[in-house]
Amino acid sequence: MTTRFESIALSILFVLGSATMNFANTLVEQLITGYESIQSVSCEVRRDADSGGTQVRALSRVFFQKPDKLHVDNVTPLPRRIVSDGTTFFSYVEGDPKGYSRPISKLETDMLISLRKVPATAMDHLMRMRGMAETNLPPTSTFPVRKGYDTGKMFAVLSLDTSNRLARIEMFTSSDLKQAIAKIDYSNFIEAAPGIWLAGLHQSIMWMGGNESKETTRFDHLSINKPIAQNMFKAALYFSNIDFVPSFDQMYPQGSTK
Amino acid sequence: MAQRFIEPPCRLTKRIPGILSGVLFSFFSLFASATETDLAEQLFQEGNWPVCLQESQRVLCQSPYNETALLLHTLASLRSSPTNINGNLSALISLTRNSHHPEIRAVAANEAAWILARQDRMQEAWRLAEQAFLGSTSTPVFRSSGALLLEIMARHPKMAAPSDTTRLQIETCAPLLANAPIPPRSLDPLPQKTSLLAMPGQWIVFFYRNAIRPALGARCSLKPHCSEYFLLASRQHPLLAIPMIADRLVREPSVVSAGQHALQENGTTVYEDPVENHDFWMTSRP
Amino acid sequence: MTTLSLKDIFSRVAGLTFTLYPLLSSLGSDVTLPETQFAQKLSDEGNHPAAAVEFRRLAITSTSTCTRASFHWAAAYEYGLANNTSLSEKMLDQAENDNPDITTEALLLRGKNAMTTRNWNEAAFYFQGLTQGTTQPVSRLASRSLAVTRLHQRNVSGARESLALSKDDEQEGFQAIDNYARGSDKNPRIGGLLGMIPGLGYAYSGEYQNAARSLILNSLFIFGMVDTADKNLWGPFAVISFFEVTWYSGSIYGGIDAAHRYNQDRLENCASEITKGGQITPDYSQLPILRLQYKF
Repeated sequence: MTTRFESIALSILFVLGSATMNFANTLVEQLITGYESIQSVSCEVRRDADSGGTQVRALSRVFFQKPDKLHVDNVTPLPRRIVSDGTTFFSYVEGDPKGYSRPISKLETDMLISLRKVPATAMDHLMRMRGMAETNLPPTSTFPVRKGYDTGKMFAVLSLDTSNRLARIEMFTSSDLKQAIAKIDYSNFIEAAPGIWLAGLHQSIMWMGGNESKETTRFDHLSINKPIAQNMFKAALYFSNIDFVPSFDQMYPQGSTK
Repeated sequence: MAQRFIEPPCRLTKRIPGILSGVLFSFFSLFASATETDLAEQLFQEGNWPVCLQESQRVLCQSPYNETALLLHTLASLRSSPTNINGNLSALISLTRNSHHPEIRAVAANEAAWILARQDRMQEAWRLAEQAFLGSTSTPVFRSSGALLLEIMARHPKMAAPSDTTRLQIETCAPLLANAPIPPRSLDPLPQKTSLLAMPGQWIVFFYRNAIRPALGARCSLKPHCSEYFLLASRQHPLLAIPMIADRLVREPSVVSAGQHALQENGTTVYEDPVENHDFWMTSRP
Repeated sequence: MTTLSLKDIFSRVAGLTFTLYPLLSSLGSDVTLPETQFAQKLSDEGNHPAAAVEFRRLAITSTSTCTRASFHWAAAYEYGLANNTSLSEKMLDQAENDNPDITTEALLLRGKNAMTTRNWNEAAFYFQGLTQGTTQPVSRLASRSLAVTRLHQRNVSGARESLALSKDDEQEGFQAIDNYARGSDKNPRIGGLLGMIPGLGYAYSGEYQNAARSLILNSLFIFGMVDTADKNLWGPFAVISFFEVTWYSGSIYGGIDAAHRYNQDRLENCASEITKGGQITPDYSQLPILRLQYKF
């Protein structure tokens, strides 16, 4: 026979548990939770963007380690290095008079998402859809699981393929799914852990103002949950004699045209 | 209003506006039987007109009634050579009337409209552009034909009067149409825009090629030939073209005697000496 | 009626298998489609753009993604030979989209394209990724190419480090780098300044024949200018002056460019010592299986 205290405690636990279960039951949460098993990733990233006939290629090496450690070496088009040691975020473009630096706790939301997203995943989009109500959508032969999320500004659709991998994210202007804004296809999957997949190829198309923009991102030499030297995240080793400021406005002298 | 689309007829033959690559891309997605023309379409999008012409001709040999191939063949022919404009125009107009696919009719109508506008046949141009504007589901064709209609309306307001619905639509879309990206597809492989500083060089080359070379014969052993080298240099580095050609003329015997990068051209041996080998240091990359 | 023993059956089946095996195995790889032969023929004739188009046609008509990828890679290779790097890159995009396992072959070609367009940072990125975790011929080729790229980036120590990544004996390459480091480049500014004395700019960079020609031409036209000015023949003076300005400006420009050519030749000589003509060539007879031959 339980005591009154135990009854109350169990009731509270039950209520909390059901709320958590509801929240955790969305596909977005399931996917994000799955990525928690990934502690570190290193890879090479090749990104080709084509917008209005202008093509840009970005090449970089990425080293990611939880919590909040990141080292990005951008080779082209701008030689830029980003280092985050878990406490402070540093970014510097070679040749610039100053770099940018801020404590991680004070980073803007977008930068925080970029810092915390697991490379080769759709985590940046998933994190923006967190906490939103989920709608079931009719399945297709290619995508047996489809879920919709109304973000207020647009309606996002997540599609899993027959192997239960996130294969597509689509964005529409509204829930009638008539006018598409963007589509991102994920492929070339690598299984990081049972049921947890990273996509080595991301292909996105965006339609805005009558123009179409495409971007293809490839992840090579993916190494998951392997050790990364901690010196990779020590900013002082990579930025010598560089002043860092906490805002982009302060990076360039007044009157600079850059 | 910017009058950048319709030019005096005497300068129009080389500036036939391109069908934007997006047109054919979206247009092919509508038809399941487009596989045999996929390569021709890709070549068209890349601007490789001669090979696109061959490829579409090959498809037509196997499938003479393939309207997509016929359209590509006509468009590639227009861009490859300006000599058969009227023949190609007839082919386009025939497609606007007889094609079974509405999008092919619209694309053909848009192209034909632009050609007619350049020939100052505005009434016919208006009719075809209107057909393309109202009939196409493709955004690039919509914008291209709409831009032409807008231009014609500006010059001949009365022409739009019987088509009030079209006029209203054009006026509503005017901001979108005014910025329509219509890439001019030059038939000249060299860049069209020439700076003022480069023009004297071009006149010199023109004089040399027409007055002097016929008497002396083609003597240059390098590729590109010296006059071509001068033209290329004057386009890329207008002020430096003269010292560059002088340097080349001084170097020529040394390049020939070194014997490197030899090619056979029309039975004679020439040696590669491109402009890029002598200006890379001006635009060096990290 | 004779009954066959197990031994007889086995020997007959074995005999049949050994007879059929060469035929069966050839169906997978050694049989070359007529269209592939045609594309190869065009390539052998030096008509690389046409060969590329044929490979593209083969790719488009292929139903298997791996086959498509191989043909797209071949088209990319041919476009590379035709110096059309933008189309080569486009074909490599198609190849990698179709078959992600083709990454190594694609990166090798992308590195080569980047070197053709003098995109040294990009080339270094591709080759650096190939120096580790790949087969020995690939890592050898990549490390040598990376060393050459580092030289173009004026990073001699980086070139040595890159060559050290090769698992092969690279004594000649190290020797070439050392020789290169011991030598010195010509200064284009000095070449230009010296070029103000007709022919001296060329002579500074060792182009003595060019120097002599430049000196003779300038001397003749300067003499002509002086002579026509003395005789008050201003019309001919103007014409001769125009040509003399041409030759003189050519002498200054030639001095600068000759120094750059000298430096470029020095670097290219070192590069050829490092790479020793190493290159990749596809074995078209194996298509649609993509096999590369590494020649060193």
